[in-house]
Amino acid sequence: MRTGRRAQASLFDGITFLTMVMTGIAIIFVSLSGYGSMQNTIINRAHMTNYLQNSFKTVYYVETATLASVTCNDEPYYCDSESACRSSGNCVMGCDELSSWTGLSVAELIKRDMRDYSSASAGTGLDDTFGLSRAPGKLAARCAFKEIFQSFSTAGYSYMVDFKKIVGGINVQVPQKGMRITNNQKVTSCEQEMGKEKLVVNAPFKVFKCTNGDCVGENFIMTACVWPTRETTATP
Amino acid sequence: MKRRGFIGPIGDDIPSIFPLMAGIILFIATLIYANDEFNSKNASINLRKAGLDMAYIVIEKGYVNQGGFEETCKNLLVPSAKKNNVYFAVMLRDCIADASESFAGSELCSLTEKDDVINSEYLTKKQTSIYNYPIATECETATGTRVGLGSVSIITWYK
Repeated sequence: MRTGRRAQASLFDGITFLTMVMTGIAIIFVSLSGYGSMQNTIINRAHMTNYLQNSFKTVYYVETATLASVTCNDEPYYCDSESACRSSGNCVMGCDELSSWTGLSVAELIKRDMRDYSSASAGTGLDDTFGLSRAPGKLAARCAFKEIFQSFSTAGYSYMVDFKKIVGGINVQVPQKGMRITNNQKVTSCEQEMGKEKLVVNAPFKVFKCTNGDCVGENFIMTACVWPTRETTATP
Repeated sequence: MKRRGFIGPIGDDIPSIFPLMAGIILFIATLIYANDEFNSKNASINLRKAGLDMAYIVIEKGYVNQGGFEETCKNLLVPSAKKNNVYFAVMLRDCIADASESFAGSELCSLTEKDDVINSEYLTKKQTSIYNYPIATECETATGTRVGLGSVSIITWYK
C-alpha cells in the first residue's frame, strides 16, 4: 500500500470507530431514558388502587355528623344546583344537614338510603330518602367523597362513586337522583368510556332489608372510578 | 523514490489516535454515567416500593387511632423499614388539623436517626417518598371525641 493512503486509511478507521461508539452511546441513552418508567407507572397505579380501596374502608368508620362542615367551595359540580351556583352564585352543598346524624357512619346511612331500592321501580335508589322519611345517604356520600378525593380533584382527575345491584347475575345500576357522587356531572356511570387511564375499583356492599324482624341481605357492588378529566368523552 | 505524505511508522497513525482516544473516553464516561443513573433510578423505585409496602400496613383497616398503633408500629412497620434499609415516619392529621400546614398533625410511628426532628426543613435535604391517604381517626370536637375524616402520610427516605 502506498504510505500516503495508509495515513488516510488509519484516520478512516478512527472515525469509523468513533461513529460506532456514538451509535453505542445513543443506544445506551435511549435505553436509560425509558428505564424505570414502567415501574413508576405500576407503582402509581398501585398507589391509586390502594387509595380507592382505602376510601371504601374509611366510609365505614367516619361518623356522618363530622362532615357537616364540608362546603362546595363555589365549585358548581359539587353544589345542590349547578345552574344556581353558576348564575346567581348561590353555591350550597347542604352538608350542614348532616350535623344531626350522630352515631351513624357514612356507609350505614348510604345503606339506609338504598334499603328501599327496587330494580323494578324507577325513581328509588340513592335519593336521600328511605320510604317517606329522610335518609341523606347520597348527600353523606357526596360530602365524604368530595373530601376523600380532594387530592385527585386538585390534580386534575375526575371521580365517580357508583352502586350496582346484582339481579340474576346481571349488574343493575342504582340510580342517583339529582346531583351524583362525582366531581364531573357529565358522567352517569363508571361503565362509560373515559380513556385508557381510567381506574376502577369494586367492593361488595351488602344491604339488609328487615321486615318484622326477618332480615334479608341484598348484594350490591360499590364502585369507584377515577380518570384524568381531559379524557372525559361522555356528553352531558 | 520520493514518499509523499509519509511521516514515519508512528507518525502515520497519529491522526487516527485522536478519534480512537475520544471514542474510548466518551464510551467509558457514558458507561459511568449510565451506571450512576441506573443506580439512582433503582434507588428511587426501591424507596417508593418500601413506602408502598408500609402504606399497605398503615391503612390496613381504614381506621387509625393514636393510642392503638404502637403494636403495628413495633411489630410490622419498623421491621419492614429495616428490611428495606430506609427511615420512615407516619404522620396522622386529624379532621381539625390545619390543612394549610404541610406537616401538621402528630407523629404516629417513626424510625429515624437519633434525635432527628421530622419537619419540612429536614426532609428537603433527603430523597423522600411520600404517600397520603384519607383515614378515619378520632377527632376532638366541641361535642366530644368523634370518628372523623383525617389523613395519614407515610414518608420514607434513605439512611
